[in-house]
Amino acid sequence: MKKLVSLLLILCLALGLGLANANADEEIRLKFLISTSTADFEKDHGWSVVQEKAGFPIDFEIINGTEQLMSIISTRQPYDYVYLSGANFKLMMENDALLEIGDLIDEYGPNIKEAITTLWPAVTVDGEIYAIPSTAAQPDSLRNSITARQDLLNKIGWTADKLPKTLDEFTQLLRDIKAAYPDMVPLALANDTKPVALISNVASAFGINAGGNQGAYQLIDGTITYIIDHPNLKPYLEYMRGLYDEGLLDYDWAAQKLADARNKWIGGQAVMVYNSWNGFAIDTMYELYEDMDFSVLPLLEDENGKVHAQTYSGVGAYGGIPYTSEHPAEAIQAINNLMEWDTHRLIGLGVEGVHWEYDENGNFKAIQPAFSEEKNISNVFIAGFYREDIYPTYWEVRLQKNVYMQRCFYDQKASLLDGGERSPIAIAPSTGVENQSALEKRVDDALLAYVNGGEMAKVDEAYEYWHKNGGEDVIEFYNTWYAENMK
Amino acid sequence: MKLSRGEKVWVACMYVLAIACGLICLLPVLNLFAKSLSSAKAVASNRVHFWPVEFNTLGWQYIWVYTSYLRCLGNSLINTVAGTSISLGITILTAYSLAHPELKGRKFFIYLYVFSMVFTAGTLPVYFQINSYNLINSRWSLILPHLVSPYYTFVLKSGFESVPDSLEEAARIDGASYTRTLTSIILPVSKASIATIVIFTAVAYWNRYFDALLYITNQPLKPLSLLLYEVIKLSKMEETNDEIYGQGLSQTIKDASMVIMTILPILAIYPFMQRYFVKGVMVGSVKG
Repeated sequence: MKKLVSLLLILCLALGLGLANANADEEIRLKFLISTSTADFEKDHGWSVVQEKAGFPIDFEIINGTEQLMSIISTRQPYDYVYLSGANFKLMMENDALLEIGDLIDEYGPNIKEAITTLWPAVTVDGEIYAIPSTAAQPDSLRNSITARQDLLNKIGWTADKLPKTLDEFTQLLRDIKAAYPDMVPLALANDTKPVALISNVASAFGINAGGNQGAYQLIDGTITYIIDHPNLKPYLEYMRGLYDEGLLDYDWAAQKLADARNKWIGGQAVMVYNSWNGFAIDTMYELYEDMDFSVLPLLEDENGKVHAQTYSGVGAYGGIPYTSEHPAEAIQAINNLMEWDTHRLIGLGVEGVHWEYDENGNFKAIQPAFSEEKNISNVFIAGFYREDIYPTYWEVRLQKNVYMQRCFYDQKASLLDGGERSPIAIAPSTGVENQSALEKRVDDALLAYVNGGEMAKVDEAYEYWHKNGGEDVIEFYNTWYAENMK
Repeated sequence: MKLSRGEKVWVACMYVLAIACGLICLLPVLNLFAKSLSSAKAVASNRVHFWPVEFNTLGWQYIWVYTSYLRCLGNSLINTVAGTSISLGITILTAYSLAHPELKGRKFFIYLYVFSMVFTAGTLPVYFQINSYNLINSRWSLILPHLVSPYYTFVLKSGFESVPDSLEEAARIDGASYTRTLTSIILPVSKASIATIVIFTAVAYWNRYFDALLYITNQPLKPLSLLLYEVIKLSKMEETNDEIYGQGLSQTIKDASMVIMTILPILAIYPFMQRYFVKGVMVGSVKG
């Protein structure tokens, strides 16, 4: 009898274990680390679409910063996907923390392959693919440009149709502003607009591309060079220094952040500001100032009447699978499902007739307030794998939340004329060269110091430093890459 | 008692200094408070100083509706109440033992505490430790590491030591155990020191964000301090702030509202604690 009972008990136990294991096999939950958001994920429309369409239940967790990411990786926590900024992608690559996913994409990712057309070189190292490249949300737009209080310019004869197109006219404009509004800063500038010390509108006249998001690398006669080697750098610097000496620029340039420069402009302490189309409260200015109007200054023409600028482009973020993932294949399948045309639209834009509709020209138009209320953070769920072919179009609908911001964005884009170029390193792998950012910073600091009253010797010193400490390796890295991938 | 002329000047100077220091602490907070309740227009034109101009509550509404404020507030309350109560219990027991010379190895224990005040492990070793206890993404990772503060233990120990021996001896002679002496004699006369520690500990639990920044990836566990950090940080990041624009509100007002809405709840405990500071520590305990 005892034996029988023991046998039965053992059988029950074995069955129980077997069942438990079978259950574990069935239920796969994916763990995705995505960019942090101040709103609750579950309240957003995008979240429910993802849960319904991904094919697997996904637990979204937030990543707060680089320290946390590195701690997570070094303690081998089993996440199946991680959203990465350029810097974090570089860090993950240096630590061999990303899985090679080329084969998985071949097998499970037809939508991924179809949706991303040009960006693969950015994630390909030694022939292997290490992440999904997510397009910059506003490709081929201008990031930074001079925005002016047109109402004030009108009063001194610089009407919107007569805005400066050449260096001389620009200098004259600044002088006129200084004379007419002696208490105001003619042009508010910040030390954190990239590329540092290069003002896109002015750099254009010297044939230097600026105003994008990719640093100061330039393509000269088919060769990539850093700004420090640009033949027109010194003339540009000297021109800017001339403006500084005349008191036509912002004396706080070297010390102030963009938010402060904008506040100067919004608060009526500056006539113009160098900044992006994004984030500033122009609508408040319309309440503040009678006759308020703004305009985006043209890019200044070089001696041949041509304008130059670097467009905002390339990869905005990366979607990687950490080497500790327990379900890499399922993660790729889920991403593939979320990049499917209709699903991607459902997440990025929402439901037709509820969140958006077509306007008379057949373009997407947001339906408010549903779009702002229910789709406000939808982009975070797909931020590491935007469809390159269509997401930027969806993104433009977000501009409709603010009519002035929208106008500013399109005016900046229009000012590119035919002179906007992608940075030559826009889709180069951001793994780069070891001390690259330190080298770039050294040069940037020297340039910023000079246009703010420093000495030219510092620029020469930075030139020497760049060439002696690995700058040539950086240039060689990019040129080799360029020759292999872009020609 | 009459004050001499010199003493009067001295007292006046003290008053001026105390008021000036108070204002230095108060004015920035008042300024943020005023900004959080003013119109974007008034803030942009630098007209807001210490009182709201063109009163409106858009900033507060934004934080209330568009962020996970309520959930984070709940988390912060739980962490703070749990952390402070447990921490207080442990600190009182430890300080009481350390305040008694008859404790064997007392010096050794005190040195242990001092050692931990001077030497701390770095971020990563602590992270590994927390991870090895499976506390990542658990409320306890925000509570446990800060339960014992050597500094507050010493503060309380000094408080206990300042209670006259005769009080405790009297209780012991009447047959009270150590526990009874602690609860019936020592604690009632140490209310002021305990109230101080409660406030310090509670405020520290409330404000601490770095632990959450490291140990929490699960959004529903986020404390208020981390939300504040994110609101301010996201406003500075050009690339990712898709989610914050277009609400017809200036960033300054959002930031200010978030700061004020974070500190208000913890500020509310001060009035309750205030009376313990005002009362004298030893009033009427030893006579004759």
